[in-house]
Amino acid sequence: MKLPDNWRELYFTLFPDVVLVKGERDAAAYDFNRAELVPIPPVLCDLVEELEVHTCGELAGSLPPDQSPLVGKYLSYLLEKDFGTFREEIIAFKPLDRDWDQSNELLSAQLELNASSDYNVAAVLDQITDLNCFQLELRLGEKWANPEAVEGLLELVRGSTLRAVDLYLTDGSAWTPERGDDLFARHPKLLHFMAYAAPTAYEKTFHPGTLKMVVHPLPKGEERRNHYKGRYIVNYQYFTEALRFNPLLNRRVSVSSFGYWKNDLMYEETFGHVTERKLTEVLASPEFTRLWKVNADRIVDLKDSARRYAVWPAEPLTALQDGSGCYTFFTPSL
Amino acid sequence: MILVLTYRKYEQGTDPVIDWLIRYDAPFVRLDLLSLLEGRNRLHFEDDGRIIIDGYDLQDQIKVVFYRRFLRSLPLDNCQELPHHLPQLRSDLNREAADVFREIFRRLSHAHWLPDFEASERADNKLHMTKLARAAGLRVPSTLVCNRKDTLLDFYRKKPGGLICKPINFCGYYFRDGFAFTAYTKMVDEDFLKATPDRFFPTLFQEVVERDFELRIFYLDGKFFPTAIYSNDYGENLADVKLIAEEDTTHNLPFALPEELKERLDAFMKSAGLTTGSIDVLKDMDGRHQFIEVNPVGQYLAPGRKCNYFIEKKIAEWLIQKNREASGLRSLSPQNLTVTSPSITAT
Repeated sequence: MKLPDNWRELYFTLFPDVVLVKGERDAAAYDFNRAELVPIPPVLCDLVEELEVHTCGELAGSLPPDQSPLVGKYLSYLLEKDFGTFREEIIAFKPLDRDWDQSNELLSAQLELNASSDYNVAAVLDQITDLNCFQLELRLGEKWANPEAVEGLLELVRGSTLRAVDLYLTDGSAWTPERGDDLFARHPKLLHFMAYAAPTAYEKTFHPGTLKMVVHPLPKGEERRNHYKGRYIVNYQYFTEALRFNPLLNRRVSVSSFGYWKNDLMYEETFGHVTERKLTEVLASPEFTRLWKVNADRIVDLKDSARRYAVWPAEPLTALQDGSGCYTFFTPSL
Repeated sequence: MILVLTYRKYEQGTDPVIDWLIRYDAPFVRLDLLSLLEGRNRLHFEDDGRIIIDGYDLQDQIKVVFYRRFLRSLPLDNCQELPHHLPQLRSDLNREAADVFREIFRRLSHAHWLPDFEASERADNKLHMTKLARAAGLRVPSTLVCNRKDTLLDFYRKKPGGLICKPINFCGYYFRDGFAFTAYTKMVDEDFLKATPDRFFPTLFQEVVERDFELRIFYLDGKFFPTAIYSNDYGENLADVKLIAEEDTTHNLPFALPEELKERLDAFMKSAGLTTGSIDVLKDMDGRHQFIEVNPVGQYLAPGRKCNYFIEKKIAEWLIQKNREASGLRSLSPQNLTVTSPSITAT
């Protein structure tokens, strides 16, 4: 798109649905309208800031003669990316509010069930759904991955406030594509079904939801974590949550196969057994919610990156012992 | 008690509000038309004028009504054995049902409605709303309703900027072969005029407003949540911004309304008896704001989320506040927001 003839007399307004974020050495444009993360030169952030109070011509005129032509080039780039528009008025739109909120006291829950699990699953699920939880992840191992057990678990959450159930089966040997299709047809809350070590590979997309069966076994931890490398989440709700919270751990609870409350299954720290401590009590404890507020600016591995508010922080955090209140993904035992 | 009148299945303007009612532990009951017609919810009228639904005395217990797309045409899926009588049967049963529910609504007139049922029915008529908007000092594009081609041609010649044509009330969806068809606002051009017969069904025509951008403004009892629908390139002859809503060059942006426009819109909504609605306004190339229409039960969720307005939360808080006031409880504040009463949902 061509610059307007009178661009020097106009203000350039960055669209509020585009947010520029600076890192230590990089910068990125979060394009929420297109759900894209676009690397940009850091100088562009300064330029856009100046354009909030100066016309394009005023800014170009204030620069040394050798840098002045760059303003037109950068503006062409911003217009071409559809990051903003030229306006006669200095303030055309309002910035997006940075508030984040959700109606749920609990956003997500994660349960691991295998041969070691002898706690009352129904009672735990009742506590989770009583808090209006929207998303449930079930990791099912031995004794729990067969069709009858899965059916029983899904029946337990029928009619609850849950909107989505994700199933991960370590042993998919008893599952056929027909059985998977049938499960999706009868349980509209089912969003993801992933079975490892299945007899045949199969994949089908529903609306919404994905059914996938693979013949290989569940990958090991390191390989699983690589899944998230180079992938970014660019939407405004995620961004505003990431500004203040850790989007993985915020309002999340997990229950280990032995029945212990955790922040997430990948953590070793536990917060009591489900038979001894109510979920409401766990959520009210500052020790449990401590990690919820560890946002990207407090994680040394992320804080210098311009992409920090688009990263899914799916690695266990370790507190630094330097009094800074910061954390790292590095786990000495790995 | 808050009564939520809506569809049986997910309704994008209702369910997110209910999520907040649950979060605040607010007392509410959700009812849908089909559940009442099928007897899933027990309903009876008493001789003394009371109406009881599932044990709830509506006049006594209901203080607030959240009305979302409740009345609808009956599907009558189980009447296939009488296909030749179906249109008459549907018409008769729809009238029967309408009388039942209009009487229920009448007897709920003591409650705070969001929006008022009768006002929202009146608001479906764009001609009436246009009149009220002008009376409130809002600028409205020149509009003609006619049924003769010569009248249309005369209007067309007087408006060199062109004309658009759109439904006076509403156009639903026509389903065929897996597709849904509807009537968007359409540009009146030479081909349109050539195809127009000398006499036709009364139709609404309006002068074209060259848009700077369009505003979708959600109104809630004096508060405004405006979204500017903006594009660097609208293309040629775009009559309806809905046609480009899904394109990635169309931006939904928060906007600050001028005070004068807010005052006029507020006066208009009050004169229309509407406590809520989605108002469409065009900002023209001369910087003037032109009123287009209001939809009392318009969809607010997508523009509201894109602008991070939390409209669903604000609606829930309004309902709770009105319920507390009507119940003689303290006003809403973060300290006394949570109330403890049982809630049921009929769906």
